[in-house]
Amino acid sequence: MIELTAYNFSFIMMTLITILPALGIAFVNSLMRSLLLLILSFIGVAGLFVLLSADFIAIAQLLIYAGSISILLLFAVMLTPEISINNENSKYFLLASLGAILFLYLMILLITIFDLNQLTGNALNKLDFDNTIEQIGTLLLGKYIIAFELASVLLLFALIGAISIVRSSESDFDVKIKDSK
Amino acid sequence: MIGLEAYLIVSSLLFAIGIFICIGKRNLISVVMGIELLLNAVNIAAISFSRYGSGFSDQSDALAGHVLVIFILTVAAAEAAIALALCVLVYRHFNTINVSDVNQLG
Amino acid sequence: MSFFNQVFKGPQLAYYFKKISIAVFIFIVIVAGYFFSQLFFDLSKFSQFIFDFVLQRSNYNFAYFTSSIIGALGIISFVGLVLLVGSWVERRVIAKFQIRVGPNRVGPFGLLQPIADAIKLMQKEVLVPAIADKTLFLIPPVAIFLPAILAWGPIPWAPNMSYLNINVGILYVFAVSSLTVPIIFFAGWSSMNHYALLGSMRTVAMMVSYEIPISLSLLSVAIITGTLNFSEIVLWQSTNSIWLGLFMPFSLFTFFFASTAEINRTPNDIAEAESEIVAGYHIEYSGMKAGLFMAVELGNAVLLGALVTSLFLNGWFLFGIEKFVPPYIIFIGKTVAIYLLLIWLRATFPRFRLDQLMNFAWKTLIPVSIINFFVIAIEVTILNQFQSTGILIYIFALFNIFLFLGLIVVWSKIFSVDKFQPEKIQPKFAGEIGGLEAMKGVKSVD
Repeated sequence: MIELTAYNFSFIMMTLITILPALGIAFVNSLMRSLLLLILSFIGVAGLFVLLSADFIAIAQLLIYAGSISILLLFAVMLTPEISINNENSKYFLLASLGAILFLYLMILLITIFDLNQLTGNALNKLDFDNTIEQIGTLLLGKYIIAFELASVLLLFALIGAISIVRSSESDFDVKIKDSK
Repeated sequence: MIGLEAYLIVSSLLFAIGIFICIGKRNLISVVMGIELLLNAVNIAAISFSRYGSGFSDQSDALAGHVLVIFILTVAAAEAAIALALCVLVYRHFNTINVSDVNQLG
Repeated sequence: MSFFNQVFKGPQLAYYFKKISIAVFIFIVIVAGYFFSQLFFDLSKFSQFIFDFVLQRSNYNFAYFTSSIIGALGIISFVGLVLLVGSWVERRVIAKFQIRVGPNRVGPFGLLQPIADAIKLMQKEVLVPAIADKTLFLIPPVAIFLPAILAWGPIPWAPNMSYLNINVGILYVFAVSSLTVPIIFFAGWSSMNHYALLGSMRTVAMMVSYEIPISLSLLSVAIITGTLNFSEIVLWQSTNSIWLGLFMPFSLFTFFFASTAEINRTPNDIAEAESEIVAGYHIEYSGMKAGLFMAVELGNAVLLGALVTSLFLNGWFLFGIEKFVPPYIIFIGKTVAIYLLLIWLRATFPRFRLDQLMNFAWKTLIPVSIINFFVIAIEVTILNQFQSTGILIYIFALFNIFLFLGLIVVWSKIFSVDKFQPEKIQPKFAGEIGGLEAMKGVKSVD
């Protein structure tokens, strides 16, 4: 069986923190509780990134998923009133579980076919980065500069798009301002 | 020995749960949560391949997985904002965000 | 007193005796403190000793585990001490501002007051509203401690003395402290009380908006030092012999002001305005649960002091004094100074309204900090052309101070607050209309 080093212990803990809350989302009936579980799961994924020696990505995961996207979800829940708080399963419950189990079976088949243990990570150990941030920065502003700029355009479009979709109508907006005066 | 295999199994588990939530949930916001879980599973796979992979042509290739994850994070943030705006719009139009009830175009 | 009076026959002699004994006591404390501080000058030797001691008797995993547990216990005990003493300090200092005595009954100088308060709070019944979501209701008071304690990790207390010496220190603190927002929301939502829900939405909106100026000011710190590691930022300030707070005063101001909004301190504590609107997200919490929210607020205030100290006030360096006094004492001294500044603000300023706060964040703080960031980026590119920064950095510092003042003046001229206010209906005195007799004919004041 697996020997209990600090690394393996942390891996098992982080896996549990990731998987158990994610399973909880599937079976908890309150949307708010499932949101809390989702945040926990995000934190677990960040822990896995730390174990994979990707410190910057781990922090970005914490910042963007656990800090920002969860708050977006909170606001979406608050903007759609009380009816939407329940989180029950649809009539496709059996189909969904069947699909998930089939996918898992396929993936485990795929993982076991290839001999993945020959990849030991020594290639990266030899490179011996003491700071991944510098490397990522050079890549983002060098090799992948076009994708980087396009990502900024995408974010701007998402910002404007989200505002213009949610804003109901011009007249409605004006009436509210007049009321406040 | 915990290696690439273990991380890939965790990733596929998370992906399977994400698929289950995406299909099996009634609420539109839960479906968005499922999509976020799917993206997280992909992130774990990308980072673990970047960690354990070998045969990089040069040093700058080694962290290409990290850069991919940063782009996924960006797209996920944009996608979440738009999807949740659509949720609010659907609620206003149909007075529900139950996915099975939203079955008309207008 | 009466004993001295009998022996020395007169109040005067006893009075001087008391004074002299106090002076001798202070002298002894200073001398003993000096030797004591020389003994504990470098705490990293102790942690190294513990690590080696455990390593000789067991394997590497266990040694690492033990030393990390001891370090974590050190941080937790410091935060606990702060929570105990801090509330006493705050009440005493505010009492000084308001010319009264403050708590002085329990123990010497009222020092045991926080313990008495804690015992009182624990004896109170914890009420859970009948329709509340009980699990979600009981999680937030405990969970809100996690970000508050985790954020202490990368703080550099002294050379070789920081618990998490990571390359992503600034980002780590920023990410961890952003976890407070959902916790506050859950606290408000699970109470199933409209006032609590509105309070939590108010707080969440405010905290999310003020995260942007904070990130911009931290970005300017990162761009000039070229690192995100707290220890390296402190070392950069000492090698270039300038405090970053002096080099970019606007970033310091932005960070400080926006952080007071993040941790709900005056002047931005609209989250808990009991006297103006119903208090914020924690109105349904009673007893020790409410006490925990208050305690976290206090701990966060001291954490803000530590962050400002290490980012902008040169950490453990103080004009060469750090060679004689243990550096962590200097660090804690600066932290306490910032904390006292926060108490001063609390005793002086009234609260801002929520719309004023949001206007200030979006219409003033964010645009001006973007301008400030670009100016600093240009200065950094110029500084990078030279081998040593030399006198140029002081010129830039002077320029930045004047730019800061100029930007404030320009912004207040162009975007003055009055332009965004709805038209006010001023009350009129009876004399302006024409006396009390004429007043009877007036139907409406408009």
